[in-house]
Amino acid sequence: MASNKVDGIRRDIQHGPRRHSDELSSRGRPLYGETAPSEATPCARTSPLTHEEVSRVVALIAAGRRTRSAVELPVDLRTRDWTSVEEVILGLDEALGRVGAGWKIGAASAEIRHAEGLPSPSPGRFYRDTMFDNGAALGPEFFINFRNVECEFAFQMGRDFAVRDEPYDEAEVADGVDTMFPALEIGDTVFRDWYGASGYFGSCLDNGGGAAFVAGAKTSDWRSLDLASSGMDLYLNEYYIKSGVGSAAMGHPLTSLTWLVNWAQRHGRPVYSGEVISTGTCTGHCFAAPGDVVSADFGDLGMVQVEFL
Amino acid sequence: MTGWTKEYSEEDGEAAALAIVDSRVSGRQLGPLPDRLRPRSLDDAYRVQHLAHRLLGAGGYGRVGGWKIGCTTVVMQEYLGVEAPVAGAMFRSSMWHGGHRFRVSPPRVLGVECEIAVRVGRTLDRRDEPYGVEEAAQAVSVSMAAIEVVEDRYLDYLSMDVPTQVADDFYHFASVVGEEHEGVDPRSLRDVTSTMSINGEPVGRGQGSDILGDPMVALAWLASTLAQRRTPLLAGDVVSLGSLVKTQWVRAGDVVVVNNDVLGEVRATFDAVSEV
Repeated sequence: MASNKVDGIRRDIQHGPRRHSDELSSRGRPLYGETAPSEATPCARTSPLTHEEVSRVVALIAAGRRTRSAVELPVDLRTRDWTSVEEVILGLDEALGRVGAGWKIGAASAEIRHAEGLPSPSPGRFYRDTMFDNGAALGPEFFINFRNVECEFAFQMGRDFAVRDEPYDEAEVADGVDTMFPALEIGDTVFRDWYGASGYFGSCLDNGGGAAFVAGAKTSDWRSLDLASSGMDLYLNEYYIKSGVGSAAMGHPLTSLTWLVNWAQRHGRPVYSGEVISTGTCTGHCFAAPGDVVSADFGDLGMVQVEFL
Repeated sequence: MTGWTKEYSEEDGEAAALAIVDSRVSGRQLGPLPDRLRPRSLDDAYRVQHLAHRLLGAGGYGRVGGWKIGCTTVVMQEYLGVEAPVAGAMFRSSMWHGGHRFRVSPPRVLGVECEIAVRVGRTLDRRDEPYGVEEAAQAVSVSMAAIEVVEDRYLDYLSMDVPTQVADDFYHFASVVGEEHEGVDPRSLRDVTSTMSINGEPVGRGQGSDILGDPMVALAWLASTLAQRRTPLLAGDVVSLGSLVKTQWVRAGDVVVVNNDVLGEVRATFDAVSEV
């Protein structure tokens, strides 16, 4: 259903029982740390991190992840230089030594990038041991500070995309897709303040804020679907939170997918057959707490649910 | 999207869903839908039903919390003239545990059905092969005695077609479930007996096996149907498996009790709308 038409219908529904929670907003629970969204003070430094500084940031984050402890990024290591952020992301992947399973894309939405002052979408790595089936119940051992649930369209690739000189175009990337599926991408970082750890960059530094991933039902017949108009409704427990639409992912999930394939190979990383790439949040952020069940209705594409223990 | 046709388009379905939702939230009775908007098949009906759920969900009803299965017993099949099971959604916001007082608001009529309900402990997602009875039973986490409260929302229910009734969640209004039993083997639910009484007078009794020979057959049917329809049973969903006693229409003042020999008791009371 076209989302603007649904919005019109919803505005007309005035009667009936109201399931309204005073605790919840369109971002779910107010559990994102002390800085409000879009109110972070950008750090002063704009110069790149030195190699030694990149190593220090990577070591700090990796230690935080391994011991599941919150990390404070020292002021002298905070910079708004984007290449440094990318070096940290890739260095962290190497340092963690976990078995990779694909990639996620943070800030795929131009609106989010504009609001947070980000010059680029923000990739992160998926790891095999935090990829889950639909309906998974995730214990506290998977999280440090946050449970930020995002509704996304994901693709599982059917061929390798090697590093090469010329970029891949959307047609070639689409031909290399095996299946598409709706998903919940769950974000967390070692930094206690989601929006305030040197602006948005804090969560970008920590693996793009990626922590866990729950996959819905796969389909190979995705080309006939209008993914840009394809919407979803997000619920936290019994409460409706908000809706989203596929165009949030760079206009179309395939555009976002192609961006990631090219970002990876520009940084010397092939994309392998079987890897999963999730194309970015269609519903912004939604923070949940232990005990919550977050579910999304993707219409004809099915429903996806995660429970936090 | 998938499944809509020229004969029954997504716009037709949206308009049908809107009429259903309007009736549901306003309290106004629904007549037969105009020919163009009427779902022609059960396939159409479930698509309209899903659209209605999304509108209701975002419009204040919140999340679907489970499903009811209609027409699983001979008594209900004969009463409604429908030969196969049908599914309707139950919203979490109208699911009550232990007992509940309902208000009767004429001209709409409420009724009660004596049921067995289960909660599923894991998600039964879409896949190629249907769900079998044993697999469905293994997915059950708890069993409960239940009262399904149904509502006749129609100007004349005899003139309503089955697809529209299905699109309208097949009379579902609310559900009251009793104590959650973890230790009951779901395959043994076929042997339980339930009695329903109103104001102390027994009005009917039935056995679990009245539900398609075994309530787990109904659950497997539902799991397979929903998975295929892309609204799968999600972990935590409650399923009301079917009515063991013919629907009893209630009046203000009625006290309804379901007593199940294994699952215990659950009650619902019906009060007049209070005058302010």
